[in-house]
Order: sequence, then C-alpha cells, then structure tokens
Amino acid sequence: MARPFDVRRQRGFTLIAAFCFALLYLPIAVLVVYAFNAGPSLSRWEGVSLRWFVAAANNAQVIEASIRSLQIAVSAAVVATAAATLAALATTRTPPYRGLTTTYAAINLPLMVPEIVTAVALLIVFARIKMATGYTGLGYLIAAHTAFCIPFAYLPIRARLEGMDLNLERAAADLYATPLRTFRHVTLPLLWPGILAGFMLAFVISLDDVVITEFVKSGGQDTLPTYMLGQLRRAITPEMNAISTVFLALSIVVVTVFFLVSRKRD
Amino acid sequence: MMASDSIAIENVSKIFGSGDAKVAAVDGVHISIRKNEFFTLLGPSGCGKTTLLRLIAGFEFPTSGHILLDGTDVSDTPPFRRPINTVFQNYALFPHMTVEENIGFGLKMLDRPKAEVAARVAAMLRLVRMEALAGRRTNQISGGQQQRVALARALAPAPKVLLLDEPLSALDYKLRKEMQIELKRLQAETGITFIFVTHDQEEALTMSDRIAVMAAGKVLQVGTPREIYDAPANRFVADFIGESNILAGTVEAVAGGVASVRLAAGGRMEAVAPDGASTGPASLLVRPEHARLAAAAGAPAGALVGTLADAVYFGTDTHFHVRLADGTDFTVRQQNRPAGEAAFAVGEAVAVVVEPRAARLLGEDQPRGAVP
Repeated sequence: MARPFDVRRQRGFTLIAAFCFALLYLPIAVLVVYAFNAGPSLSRWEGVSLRWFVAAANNAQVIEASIRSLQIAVSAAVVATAAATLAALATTRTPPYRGLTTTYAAINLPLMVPEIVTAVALLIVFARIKMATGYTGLGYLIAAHTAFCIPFAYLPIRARLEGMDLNLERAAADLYATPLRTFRHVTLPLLWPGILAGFMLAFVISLDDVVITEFVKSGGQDTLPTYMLGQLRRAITPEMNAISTVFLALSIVVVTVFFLVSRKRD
Repeated sequence: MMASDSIAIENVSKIFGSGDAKVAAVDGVHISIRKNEFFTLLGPSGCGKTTLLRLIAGFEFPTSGHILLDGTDVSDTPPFRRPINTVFQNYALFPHMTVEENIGFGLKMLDRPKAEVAARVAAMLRLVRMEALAGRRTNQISGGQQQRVALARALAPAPKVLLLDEPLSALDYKLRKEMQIELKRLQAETGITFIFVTHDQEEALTMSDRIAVMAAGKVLQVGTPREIYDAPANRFVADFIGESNILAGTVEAVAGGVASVRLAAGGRMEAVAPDGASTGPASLLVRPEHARLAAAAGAPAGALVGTLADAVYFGTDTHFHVRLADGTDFTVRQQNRPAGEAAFAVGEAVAVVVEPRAARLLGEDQPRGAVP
C-alpha cells in the first residue's frame, strides 16, 4: 500500500532542517555566550563574568540611546496603532466600494517600498522643514517611525476584524446599542488582541530600525541600533554582545507576555 | 393596516446592485402580521425571506415601500431604535461575555437600573431553564444551550416582535423537535409576535399560525398551514409544501366550484376549482395520502391505471410509485396495516383510486423562473 507522502521521511531532510536551525540560532547563541566573556575578545573565551553588562549599564551613551529608542518606539507605536485601527475599521466595516483595493494598496505599499528610498525622501523633506522652522527635535524621528510602522500595525488588526462575525455587531445594534456603544462593548473588546499584536509589531519594528533612523536623525540623536552600528566601526568589545543580549531578553519577555495575554482572552 | 396588526409590510422592495447587475431580493411584498401571531416566512434558499427579516430588523432599509410597527412607520429607523429583537441563525452570542452578561446586554444598553436588569436576567434564565450555567462563557456550553441563551437574550428587553432566522437549523433532529415545542411555549407565555424564517416545510406546518410562502423575492401565498397544504395557490406552493402528484389535463367544464377534467393519463376526474377557474389546459394536485391502490381488475370506472414501479417501506406507511399511461409518476402513500393484507407486486398493473374532493385544480404559476 502506498504510504502518504511525508516530507520528513525524505533522505537528507533532517540534515537540511538541522542546518537551517543552526544558521538561525547558532550565531545568536555565540553572541549571548560571549556577552559573558571575562576577556575583551569576541573569539577567545577567558571565563564567565558580568563585566560587560556592568560596563554597558554604566555607559552614559548607551543609556541615553536606549531611552531615546524607547521614547521613539513607544510614541511611534501608539500613534501608528491608533491610525492603523481606524484604517482597519474603515476598510472592513464598510460595504465594498470602488477604490477599496487601491486603498489597501496605499496602506500596505510602504512594506514594498525599499527602505532606503523612504529614507532619502524623508531626509530631503525634513531638511527643508528644518530650515524653514528651525525645529531639530525628536519629532522627525517619531514621525518617520510612525509612517513605516502603520502597515505593520494594520496587518494583524485587519486580520482580526475580518475574522470577526459581523453578526456580533448586528446583534449589539439589535439590542439597542448605538454605533458608539457597539464599538465600545463589542468591537473593541474582541479587537483588543489584534490591536495589541499590531502595537507590539510596530514597537519592535521601530526599536530596531537603522536605515531610516540613520538618514533622518540630527546630530546627537543616536538610537540604540545606530549607536551600536557606530561602535562597530571602532574596536569592538563584548559590551555590544551584552547590549544585544539584554535587547533579546526584552523581546522574548514582551512576546511571551503578549502570547499569554491573548491566549487568556480567547 | 388594522389595529390588530403588529407589523405591516406595505409594497416593500429591496434591490441590490445597480445597472445590469440589479437584483430584487424582495419584490413588492405586501403582508400584515397580527399581534401575538406565530408567523413563518417559508421558502427555498435565496427566495428573499432572510432579506425580508433583515428589513424588519433594520439591518437593511427598503428600496421602496414601508414597514409599519404598531402603526408607526419604522422604514428608516436604525435597528437600535426598533423594539424588535433577533435570534440569529448562528446565535451571534458575544464570546467575551458570560451567559448572564449576554442576556442582560439589551437592558444594559437601554440604561435600565442594575437591580431591574439582574431581576430580568434571572427571570429569563428561569424561562429557558439555564439557571445553572449563568456564569459560563458562551463557548463552554452546547449548541442547544447557546440556542436558549440567544432566545433569552432576544426576549429579555421584552420586544414587541421577535425575529427568528432559521434558529433550529444547526441542531440535531431530536433537539430540534424539543426546541420547536419550547418555542411555542415561549411564544404563548410571553405573548410576543414571532416572525420565523425557515426552509423546512414540516417545521413551518407544525409551528405556525400562518405561513407566507416565498419564491424569487415574492410572496406566493399567505395562509394557515391547513390552507397552504390543502389549497395551495399554485404548482410551486403545492410542490414545496408536502409531497404532491401533479396531473396534466384539460378542464372541460366548471360548475359550482367543481371542475370536470379530462386527464392526459386517461380517464376523467372531478376537481375542486378555485374561484375564477376557466376551461382549458390545467394541472391537478392530488396528495399521496389522498389516494389508494386497488387491483387493476375490477377497478371502479374513472380510476387511473398504471404499473407499480416501486414500493418503499417507511414503517408507518408505504410509498407506492405508479407509472401512469402517459408516463407521469404518481405516488400513493398508504398506511401500513397489521400483516396479512394483500400486497401489490412491483411490475403488476394497478389502479389508483383518488378519494372524492381530493383532487384540486391549481392556479397559474407566476414566477416560473423561481422554481428551483
């Protein structure tokens, strides 16, 4: 009898899978391990130590860049998520109209536009505004990050809305809920996991952006990733590994919390 | 509109699409539904019954015509201002709320005092016998229980009219029978007008005070279950409700409500004729249970003769399929008697004896295109 095709039984499958996973996780594992190196080398192991974590924590530039990264990421993610939620409602809770597909495309296009193009474009536009207004604050970075975060936040929110039974909102209206109260008591609570996912995605995308930030930032506006990039051009120490490890740990915690929260709601 | 009317639907049409793609989902419907009536919209899928229900609920607005509730025009009133509640086909219970919160939702949105809401929810839980599950999430209860919660939620605000959109279609046979009885009980206890949508003719016949049979957006006939079954207005209604034998023939004379018809299958038959029947080609309806088989030899004059093509045993009765002289199939349903009665063999020549006044002349079919 013919056995149903099972890719896992193919010759070499295990090897390819092992290679792919190694490629994904081995470098990260090496990076994390050397963050705990007692010596100043990235290749010679000299015993376990937390000195590079201490060094990073005492590095004023690192602290400053981290705070700036968080400021930008939180602001951009909040604004982008709010805008994406409105966009998702406007594109799903409406009868289909001419130009709906174009609207989808317009919202999602930033995902397709090469980042470097956006970066150059923003550099030129912001340079003019800077000249005209004299304002050189974080606003430019927050605006730029918000713009490229919107499509990322939009995707999970729209997916959640499309998976939601329209009859639930009809039932609320049928039971005397005005459109506003329907949104508050039915749509929003059910949409919440999608909004949270959109926010997290936007937050993470903003947090590790390099290209656009590098072009848009003024002097002294390094974020953590651009600071690290700058350091790489000089003598590199396991301090970079330590910062990356903290970054990684933070991401894992955030994603885990989100997973637990959304599972509890469903 | 009369004072006893709960809902009056006056020449309502609903057209979807535009230009060449225009479709009239509801086409010039005109019916009145009385207070405290169990009224059923019956028809095949796509006949417009659900659209009509949504127009009454306020999820859609009529393209033309008016919908009156207790004499007030509500055609343009949004659903949250209509004292009409709906039981949805898939129940549409709020998954982020408990059973109790679902039932109390309508009253909460009406800003009723907390104590009143709690008392009413408790009464509703009792009414649908769900007290024990008040604190459960709606995904932790069975389909039948969800059905009860959906009913309680729609009844809690004491609407003037309750709309039910095929609410029993997702339930298995036994549960469906139970819920049919439950629905009748609830309607009697609450005194609310029920408008029930179904494609199940048996359900419609057993539960309704009156039925509107729909096809292609039009209402073909409105009447009590007995009127619809015994005196269908046309061939579509006759075919859709119950089983029917349709015989082709020519009306030769009409007198005193009785038509004399010459049958294509041979012979002659007297048929009950509706008002305004005239001579000419026509169709006759005979229900399978209104005829019986007899031996071909010594058959009474005027009996139909044919060959027994098949006999299917159904427990309580047997369905005999007879091929008549002109090729028409005719089904006879005969109740089974204690064993020992003479049986008929397949392939044998038999006579079909139609009871007096059992044949009925059918009216014109208007929406031919609608017949599925």
